[in-house]
Amino acid sequence: MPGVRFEGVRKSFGEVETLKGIDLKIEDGSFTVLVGPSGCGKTTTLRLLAGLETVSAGRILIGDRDVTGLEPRARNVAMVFQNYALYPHMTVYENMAFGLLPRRLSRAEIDARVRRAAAMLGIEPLLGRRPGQLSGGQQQRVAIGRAVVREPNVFLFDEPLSNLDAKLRVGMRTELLKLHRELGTTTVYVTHDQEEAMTMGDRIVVMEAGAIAQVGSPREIYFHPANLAVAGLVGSPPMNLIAGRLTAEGFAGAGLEIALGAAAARPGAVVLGIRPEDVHPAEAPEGRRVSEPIAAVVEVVELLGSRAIVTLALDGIELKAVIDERHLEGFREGASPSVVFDRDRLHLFDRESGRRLDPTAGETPA
Amino acid sequence: MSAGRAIGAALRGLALALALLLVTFPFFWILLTSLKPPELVARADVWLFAPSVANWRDVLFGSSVPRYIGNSVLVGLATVAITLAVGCPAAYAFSRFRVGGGAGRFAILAAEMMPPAVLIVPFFLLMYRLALIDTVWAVVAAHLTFITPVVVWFLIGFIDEVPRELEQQAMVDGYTQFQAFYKVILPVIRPGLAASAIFAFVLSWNDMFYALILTGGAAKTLPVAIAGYWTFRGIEMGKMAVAILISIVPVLIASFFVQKHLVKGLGGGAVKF
Repeated sequence: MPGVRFEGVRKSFGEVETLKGIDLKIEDGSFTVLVGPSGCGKTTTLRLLAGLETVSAGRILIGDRDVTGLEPRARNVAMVFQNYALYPHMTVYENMAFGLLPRRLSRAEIDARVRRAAAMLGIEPLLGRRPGQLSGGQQQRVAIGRAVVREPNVFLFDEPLSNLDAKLRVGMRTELLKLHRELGTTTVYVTHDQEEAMTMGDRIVVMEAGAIAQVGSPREIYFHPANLAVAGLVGSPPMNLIAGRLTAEGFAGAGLEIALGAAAARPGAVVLGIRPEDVHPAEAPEGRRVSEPIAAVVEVVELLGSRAIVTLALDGIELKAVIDERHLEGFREGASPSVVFDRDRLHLFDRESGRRLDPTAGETPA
Repeated sequence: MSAGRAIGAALRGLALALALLLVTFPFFWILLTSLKPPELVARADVWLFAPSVANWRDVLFGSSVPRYIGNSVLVGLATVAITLAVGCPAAYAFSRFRVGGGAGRFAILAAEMMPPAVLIVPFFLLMYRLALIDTVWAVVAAHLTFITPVVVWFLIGFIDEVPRELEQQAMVDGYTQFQAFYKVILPVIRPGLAASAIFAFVLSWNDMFYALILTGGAAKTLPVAIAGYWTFRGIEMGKMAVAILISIVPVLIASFFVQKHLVKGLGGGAVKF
């Protein structure tokens, strides 16, 4: 299975530059997710790869083949659109076979491929129906089946799950991943949902304002966000970001003082990032290296079941914390518990450039 | 409360009955006239008489009207075929490529604003030079000038309704954009195509102005033939009534089938189908 390469790809629509130079290597057989807020250029990137838009500058390669100027039909990619784009005048069978007709395969070969894909997706009983007679989830399967029968070099998915209800969506995620394991086809998947990106991608490309903000595994993206944009996008509830300064002792800002040890060699303006799940009750540090206890006031408690999202007021700032249900006793609304932060999991960013400063590496802002 | 409602319903019913009478009376009167014996045709005050098929027999078997009906059908079908053949690609281009910008699609309707009298003299001279005067082809050419723009306008509305992803999907699936257009877009807008075809046929069928000036003999269409009953000896009312009924019936049937789609087409795609 060939991989995909973007080399200095730019795209402008009239005056507006939507993509500001994308360099990206997508490995053979990987499941790569493009994620970012709306308008970040992720869908444009996908459409450029499909050939539905033409690049303004740069090259796109599928395997070793430069496909930059090729029409969509010459690229051997299959795409699943957000609205599924099923041909309403054709049956499910005809929809799936349609993409095979231009290849002049034998009738028997087409039939075998359609039935194999239908079996894989459990839509054999639907082959004689028309799209209008199917539920949203069934239409989704047909759209995926239509991509599968083509046996393309690359699968392209443009927010394929966003029209499904929440329960179906989670089920479909698993199925798509299983399908990917089975077929091993290079997959590029676009979503605005960071949770979907985290659970599905073996590689995540975070995009922001027409550029790539970070490329990495879900773990890298989550535990080592390269900049403020990524830190703010990934994680739910999102990371707490607190503006302050780096001093000789550590971080100081918004009434907080957190010792960072050797990290704070050079002072400067920074943003401190604390994930809500790294905020703990002071009495239950559970063996973590934690900061000094800080008094907070509980404003809102949203119970999720085994955990709760607690909104804390802390000397003028608001802090989200995810607290285990076992420790919720002291976190009733209006209570004033003490909290600590996991010191090994704090994130520091340069306030000017937004770039990550690694506290342990001793890197400090200029 | 209920009495007020009953009066309201009665008034509404009365108004509708009146409107129905206004619309249907002329048809009724023409039907009556067509069945009058020749000597009573001029007597508008006679309502009771023994019906006669003399007018019908004369028109259908003793005149050239059947031939003119054939001409009208031929002109209509040719106009529909040509107008759809050129109108579909044109509408696709207007819808997808935004030909002529946002104003382009409205500009095509400008052809409708032009009085036919502006075109008719050049048309007559052109057809005369081409030796096409008094042929159905001259009439077809003239009809295309005012029917094609409306049909294009209709079709733009229908094509606008088709999601772009459908043809993009076809293009990714291995087809050219033109193949995507005729293998996917055209089948999807089939109801719109049918409505446009019927509408175009009716417009052509009803036209008298162009046909009257560009034909005069063998190539006459039905409306011209109807006007022909206004002779120097007076109006042959009975036969005219028969010809009028023959010309109205197809239009009535067609309107019945396409009225729903006509509204959509005129709405310029504002309504989903």
